[in-house]
Amino acid sequence: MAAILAFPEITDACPMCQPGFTKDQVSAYKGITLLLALLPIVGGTALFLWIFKKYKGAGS
Amino acid sequence: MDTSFNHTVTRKPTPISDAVMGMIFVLCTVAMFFSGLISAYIVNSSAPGVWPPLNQPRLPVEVTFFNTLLLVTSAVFMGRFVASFRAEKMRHRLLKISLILGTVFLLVQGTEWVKLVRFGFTSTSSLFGSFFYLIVGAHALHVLAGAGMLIYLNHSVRVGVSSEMLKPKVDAISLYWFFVCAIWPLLYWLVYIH
Repeated sequence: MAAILAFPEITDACPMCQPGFTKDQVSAYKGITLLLALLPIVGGTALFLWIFKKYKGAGS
Repeated sequence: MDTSFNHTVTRKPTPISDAVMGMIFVLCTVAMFFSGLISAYIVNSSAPGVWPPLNQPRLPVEVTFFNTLLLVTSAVFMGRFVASFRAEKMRHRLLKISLILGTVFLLVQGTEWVKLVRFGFTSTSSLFGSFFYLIVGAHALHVLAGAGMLIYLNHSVRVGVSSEMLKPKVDAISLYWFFVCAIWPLLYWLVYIH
């Protein structure tokens, strides 16, 4: 947030914030951004919990 | 001075074997790899205009549907093999059937590809062609690697490797096979149908 406030020009790097993209493209881009951001977080959390459960079960 | 090194360090067995842990990390990277491909495909397919582009050969949707059923059945047989192994009543035939079905899947895919190339649908004929061969080709390479692992597992079972040594191999390889079989219906729907 601080970087964006200090250097607002970096927001021009967003490819979907340029004119000429359709609503479908912007929706698709938002969707896949969400997917690619959430997938490692959800997957990593699930994996961590599974490993924790396995080791906890083995310990008890 | 005792310079003998006769002591052996016995490692406590871990709840998750090293093979399974390693395979999980491999599958995490493969999952992100396919997510990237799928994402790129979705963004490009949502561009204005007709998708797939016009004048493309019709994809073999029906043949690939039956091929998809073959791969899913292969995963089912693998699941039954793993269950029989864990119940200490290992049925080797189930593993062989799983391997055969996976190999048939690859052969049918290869045959369909040759037909598509003959019809002029190549990786350079259009953007859709590039994505098709990239996504389906990447999956086929993973299935090929999986088939190689199944051949290795089949060999290990045939030569009579002990159950203790076999367990991590069965767990890790079956995990990989389930993954490549599970991701294919999604890729099929995305590339062939959607």
